[in-house]
Amino acid sequence: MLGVYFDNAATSYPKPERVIEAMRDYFLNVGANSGRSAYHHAQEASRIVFETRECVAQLIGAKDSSRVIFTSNATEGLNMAIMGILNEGDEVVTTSMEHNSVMRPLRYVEQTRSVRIKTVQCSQKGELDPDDVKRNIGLQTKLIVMTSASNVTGTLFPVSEVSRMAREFEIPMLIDAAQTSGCVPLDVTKDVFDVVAFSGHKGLLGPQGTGCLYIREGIDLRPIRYGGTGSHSEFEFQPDFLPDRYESGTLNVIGIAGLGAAVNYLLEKGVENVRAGEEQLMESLLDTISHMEDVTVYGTGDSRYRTGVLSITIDGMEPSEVGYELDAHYDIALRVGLHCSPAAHKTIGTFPEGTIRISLGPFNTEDDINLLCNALDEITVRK
Amino acid sequence: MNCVITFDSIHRVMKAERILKSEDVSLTLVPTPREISSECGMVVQVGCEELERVQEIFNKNRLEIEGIYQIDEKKKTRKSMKV
Repeated sequence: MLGVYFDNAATSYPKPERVIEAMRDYFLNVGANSGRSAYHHAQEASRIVFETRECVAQLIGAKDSSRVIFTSNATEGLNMAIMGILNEGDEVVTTSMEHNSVMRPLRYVEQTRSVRIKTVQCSQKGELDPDDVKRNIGLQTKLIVMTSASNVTGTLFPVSEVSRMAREFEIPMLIDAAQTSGCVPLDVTKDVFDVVAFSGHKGLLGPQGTGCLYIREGIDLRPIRYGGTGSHSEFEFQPDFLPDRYESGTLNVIGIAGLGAAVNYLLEKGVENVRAGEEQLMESLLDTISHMEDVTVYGTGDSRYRTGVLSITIDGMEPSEVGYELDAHYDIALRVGLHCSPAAHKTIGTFPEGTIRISLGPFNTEDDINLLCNALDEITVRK
Repeated sequence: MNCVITFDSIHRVMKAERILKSEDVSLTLVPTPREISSECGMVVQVGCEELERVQEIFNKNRLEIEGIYQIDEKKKTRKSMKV
């Protein structure tokens, strides 16, 4: 059992008990592959995959669950969308707060397909002005890619507003929802979102190796992976129907079993309640931490406009030093450094040292916050 | 006599199963009979007398079906014909 866990933005811990039970049950009693055979164990595997897809669709407000594609993580979904939409000479608009899961595939298509990247500069607090996105849209813009919340500062991004704008210009928009899925309510139908990538193992509370990509009807991506689907088997061409078009190869059925149980837990608890709990904890944390001497807090100070992610630095101490102290002497786990987001750290002025990132989850308590604040107090006094 | 309904993907077969179960229709999922050409390896089998009701349920739920076949059990060849 981990001590105090504040690294939920990387992967959430602990998981609801039923996640472990579902995965154990799959391995003990099912075991078979999904979508391939009709014997009853295989049927059960297909049922697990289907039920999880329906649950995820319900959670994000998707009307047709076949538009929810299983991936291994948010990164895979982002790659599928970026590689599947952008062609030679296209232009893409993105922000200066993106994770490398967006920036690296973008740099790849920049090098290999001469794609031009237009980066919208965000404020030092990590906030985006939607009008700046508009100003960067050109005739060749074929995609807008944007995070729903920064994994460094926790700042929420105006995705609904930018999505409306994208629709006016008839440009598809890809949302990296890794930091908000399961923590902030999402309704892809109401907001008419085009493509949304998210992981299953962060806010959704499922196991690692799971993720989803939602693709709105009317949007077609060129698949980046081709192969067996269990359907259309007499043909050597990739099927054009979903989810099969984007799910070649054996699925992570045990992971999907766990993800289904996790999403069920969230549907029962209500994402809005998870959000309310994290907002309250963040308020307590901000309240204490922003009054601490030698501590600099990044991002907005208003918990309504941020997720449960907070970046801080301590004057005169390397983030890695603080991380080590917290782990070694207090059994508090959090992530320090650049968080795979050099662009975001450059934007907020913390490159290359990075920050100390505290990321909350639905199982954190006020006690955890007090332990952390006391520990930080002691560390800053000792330094 | 049994009838089988085919769909283009396992996803839709699973959806069909869920919908029919919620409407208390008795069904079996069986491997696609060899005589039938279908996109996917599993089909939904129901009693032919239920067929009309089943089609109504699928229409109501806007679930697209690929084909419907009658299974001739008497001649052991399991000859299927599209309804």
